[in-house]
Amino acid sequence: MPRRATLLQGTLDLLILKALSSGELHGLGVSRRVEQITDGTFVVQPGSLFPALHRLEEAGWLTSVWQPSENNRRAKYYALSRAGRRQLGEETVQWNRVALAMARALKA
Amino acid sequence: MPVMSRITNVWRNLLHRDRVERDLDDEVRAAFDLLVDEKIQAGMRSEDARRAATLEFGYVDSIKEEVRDIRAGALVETFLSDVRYGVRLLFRSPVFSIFAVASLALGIGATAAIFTLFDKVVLRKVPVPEPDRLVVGSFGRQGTPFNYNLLPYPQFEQIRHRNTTLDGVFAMSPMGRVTVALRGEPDIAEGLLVSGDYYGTLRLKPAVGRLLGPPDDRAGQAVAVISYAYWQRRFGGRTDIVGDGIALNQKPFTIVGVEPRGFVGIEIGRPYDISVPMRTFEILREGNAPWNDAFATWIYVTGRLKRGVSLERAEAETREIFRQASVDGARSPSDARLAAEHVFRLEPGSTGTASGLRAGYERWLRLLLLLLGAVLLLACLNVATLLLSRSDARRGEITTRLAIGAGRWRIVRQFLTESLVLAAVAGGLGLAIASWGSRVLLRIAVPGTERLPIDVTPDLRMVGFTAGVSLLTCLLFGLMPAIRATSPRVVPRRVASGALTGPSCRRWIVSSDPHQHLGVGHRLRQAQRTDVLGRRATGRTAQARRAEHVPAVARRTSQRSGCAVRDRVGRSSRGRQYLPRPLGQAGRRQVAPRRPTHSRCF
Repeated sequence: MPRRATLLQGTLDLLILKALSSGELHGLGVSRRVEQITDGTFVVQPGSLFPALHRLEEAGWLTSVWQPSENNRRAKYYALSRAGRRQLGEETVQWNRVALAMARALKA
Repeated sequence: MPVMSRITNVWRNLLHRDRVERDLDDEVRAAFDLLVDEKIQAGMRSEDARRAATLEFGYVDSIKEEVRDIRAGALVETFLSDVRYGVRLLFRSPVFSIFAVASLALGIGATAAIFTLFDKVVLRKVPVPEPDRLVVGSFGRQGTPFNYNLLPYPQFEQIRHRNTTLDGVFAMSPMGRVTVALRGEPDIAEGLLVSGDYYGTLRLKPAVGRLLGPPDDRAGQAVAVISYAYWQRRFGGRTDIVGDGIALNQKPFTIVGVEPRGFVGIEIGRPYDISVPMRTFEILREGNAPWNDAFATWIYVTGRLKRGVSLERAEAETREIFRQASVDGARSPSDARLAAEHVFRLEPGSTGTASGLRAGYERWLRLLLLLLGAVLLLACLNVATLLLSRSDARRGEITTRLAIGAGRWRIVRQFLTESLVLAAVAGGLGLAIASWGSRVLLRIAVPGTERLPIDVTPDLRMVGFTAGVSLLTCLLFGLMPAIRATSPRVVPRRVASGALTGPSCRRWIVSSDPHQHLGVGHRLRQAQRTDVLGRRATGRTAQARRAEHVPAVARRTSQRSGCAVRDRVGRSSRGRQYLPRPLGQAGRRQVAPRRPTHSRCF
């Protein structure tokens, strides 16, 4: 049974950026990939995912292109833009810093 | 996000709304269909596949709504649709609208009319560069505040020659009516005698030709400058006016230029048409002007302070010069006594010289403005009462929306926007009333002149004032009813959870306006045709169908309205918390009504 955990908005953005770092995906694919790379801990519902994808695209970190999907329907594929890749790097560094600090605090 | 890209996003979202909507629909539906196809391939029947996909994925419409909420320009979109709804509301209850608009428009219009008069007569500064440095001379008996505004010429001359604190000082004397004949056509115009430094001190630039200067005055040249309004009115604004000869009081003069646009003299209420050098007095009138009589008062004296010089310092200096000149010009013991008893005074002149119009009407205008402000307040209270009773009638709609999760401030915002529409319509009408009313008032106040002493055509200030007042009235009459109508204690208890099913509730939801104030619009009509699972309505009982509709409607509406219910799986509208839905349990949880304590909406 997947554990319930809460996600902050910034974390969701980071997960999406990471999920798209290895290639372009459509909406459902991003959700699947996030589930995959977090080993099932985070299941992002479409109600959260699609707004986040649109927000990231409007911010300029994702680009999108319409392509035929697996079942030959028109689907919107997202990919990281150059700025998005940069953003991913920055946010990863930031996250690691925070995680390190938290680990230290909890160990103390 | 940089401002520029946000603006482009907002622009695109609003302008190409259809395309953006279509894309969104395609995208979300494609994802949904993909899920369905996967389930079918895994062996489910298509009906079950759709149902399972719906439970897992969510409702396409509500997902689209979530995207819309965070999209750039969402606020503008909701504002625009609120405005559209407000306009429709106005048309739907014409009696209410007419009364409300009429009371507001009259209040706003009357206030704006008086304000325009007040502004033009009392407040408005002379349209010259740096009007705050202008000072006006007068004299009066020592110890009394009473001022004589007209001064003798010799003292002016002395002040002009010997001052060190003024950056120019001039004299002027209204001539009254002069006959103007251009190529034989006679006319009557207002004339003004000005000393050489008139235009220089005021720092005006001509619209055409040149303006009078000191050389013209010294020699008493028969040259004239015409005002802009006169140029337009009498000469049709033709640019070849320079050099034309006209006959003033049957004496030949030459027009050398036109004053700049917007300048109507520095005596409010007495605009003039033609200005001539002071020394042409003898040409235009019989007899001599009292150039050397230090006790004949006939000119206005105005000056401009030098930069950095205070009014007090300039006054002290000019007062001394005036006194000296008066004493020198005394020819009898009574003259000497007058010279000793009276002092020269310098006053700020940014609104021009002493004006008869202003002196006579300033106090009345202030009083009227206050009175009309009170009248406007009454009108606002009147409309607020009307709005309160109307919102009472909408209580069913409001309580439903609040109960199923609408944000209170969203509803208040919508009510305010409706009030804004009302105020805007009233404001527009009020502007028309103001521009007509100010003219009428002026006619009543100053009867008998064919030309109004001041120009009261609507200008930016009047429009700005009207708009500002309309906005203020909107807040005054709209805020309180909106807040009160959505206040939690007004929401009847029975609307919580359980009563959401049943025929009475359906009456609320279905019979009130199906558009956006419930947020269901065509979605509701869709719901009526197909049940929650997308199937066409079969032969089930009406009761059962209704019971199914309502939760679906409730769910969609709440998701649209963006209530941040924590325990509802999915997202909160504020986008801060994400609760991943445990697979398989979602559907049941979604349908259960929410207890008020969990939600932020109450």
